Amino acid sequence: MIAFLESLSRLPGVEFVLLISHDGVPIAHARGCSESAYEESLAALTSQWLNDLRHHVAPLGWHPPERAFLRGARGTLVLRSSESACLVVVLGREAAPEDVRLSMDSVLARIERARHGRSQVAPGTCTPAGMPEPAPAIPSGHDGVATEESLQPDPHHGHSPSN
Amino acid sequence: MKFLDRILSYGRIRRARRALAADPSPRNYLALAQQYALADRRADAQRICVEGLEAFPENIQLARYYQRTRRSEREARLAELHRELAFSPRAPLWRELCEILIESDELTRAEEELNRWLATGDHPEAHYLLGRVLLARFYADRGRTQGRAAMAALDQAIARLPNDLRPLRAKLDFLTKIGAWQDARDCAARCLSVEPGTLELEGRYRTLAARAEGAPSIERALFEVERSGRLAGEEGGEGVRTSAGSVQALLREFATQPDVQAALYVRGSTALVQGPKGATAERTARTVQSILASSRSTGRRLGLGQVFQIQLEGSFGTLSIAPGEQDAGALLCSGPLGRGREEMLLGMAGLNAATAGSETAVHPGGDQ
Repeated sequence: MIAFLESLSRLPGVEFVLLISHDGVPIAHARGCSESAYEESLAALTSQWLNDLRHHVAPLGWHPPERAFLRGARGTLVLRSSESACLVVVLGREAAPEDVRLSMDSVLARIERARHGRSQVAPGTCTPAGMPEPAPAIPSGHDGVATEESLQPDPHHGHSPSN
Repeated sequence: MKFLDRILSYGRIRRARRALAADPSPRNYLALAQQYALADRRADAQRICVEGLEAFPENIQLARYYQRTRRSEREARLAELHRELAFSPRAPLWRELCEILIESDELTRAEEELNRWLATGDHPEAHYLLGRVLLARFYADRGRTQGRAAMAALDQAIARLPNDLRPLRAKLDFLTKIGAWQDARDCAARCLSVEPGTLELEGRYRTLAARAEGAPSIERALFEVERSGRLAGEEGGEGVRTSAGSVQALLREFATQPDVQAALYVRGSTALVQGPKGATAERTARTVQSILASSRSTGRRLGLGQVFQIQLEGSFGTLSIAPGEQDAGALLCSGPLGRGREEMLLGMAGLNAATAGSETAVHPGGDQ
């Protein structure tokens, strides 16, 4: 996960990247050009702001914002929220929130995919609903059964190499 | 080439002057100012802008052009000072350079130059100017950290310039503005010891002495300023105001665009709303004001400086808010905001317009 954040922190103008849970607990962080370590306070203040925004927009019947930014004279705070976590990026004065829009979306999507992959995809390649994974459109050497090196010994009926 | 340009510019300026004489409109004032600026006659360009602004005080384009010409003049002087400093660095040049930067609100550049100046030696004047920079930053941000830094820098300047009233006065203003009356009274007493018998200082001392009892400490006063975002005595801050008409024209222009759901201008507890009506308008205005308050507080706590844009995106569309010092413009649209609208919105903040008696005004804060 830190590797995902580090790719974002290497973008020009990015000072700090932080992934927090919705209740404000820091999950992971990566430092860009910033020297200071302030992930705890940043996580607390950011989640408080996000909660405030949720409360403020609720009377209008709006869903919580998916993306928000706060642009100040000395930097910008950008938030991108997903169902499980919130990605926070602190930008320097010279960078604009639009500069990191795509990168943040892709990093958060990768984080979500990684999370779903770990928790939901079983070794028997079954989806959570119990349906078998559809066959890929193009056979590859990694996940197809047609290649010799991908054949695994059957633990019940076959012979193990040591036998 | 320059000679040719100058000859050609004479003709263009003459034509622009004739057009202005025939029709003294903001557009013609702007055209003549631009021609003067192109001919490198910045003083004339500024004079025309001032004349135009006297006739049309609410014209935003003229006001912006005037600021641009002033900025370009400042930049030219700064470049001269940098050249001069490279050959023969001396205190008056450093001081002028830093004062220009402070007055033009380029605090980071001013701080960098002051640090370069201080690296050449321990100059008391540089310490005083550094105190002014940090003070200006505190007045803009209103954060505790900035307040403490400003206080420390002013104390250093006072220690180095014990008989100079300027750092003492800056400290007195700072303490008065944050509401630390007891410390302000002590500072006024120190000012009087430097300049005894000054009537204005004696008056201030008496006022502060009357308020000193039960006054908060500096740290408590700074905390209160950070929390509320307001300096002492700023509750009814009345600055120069433009009329409600110019803001309403802008709001109407926004509201005519197809994907705009609401356009708002918020000042104090009053909001001008174009788009939604009745209870929805009131709820929207209340939401914008709440978002504004919590975002300003978050910005101060995070040390982001003065907040000048807040944007939320979601299934509801895009809500963009451009806060000024006392007011804010907001736009709710179903699609992306776009560059043009963003610039217009940022221009709306800081107009400081009158909102009373307007037909589209709602008072979402009225019952609080």
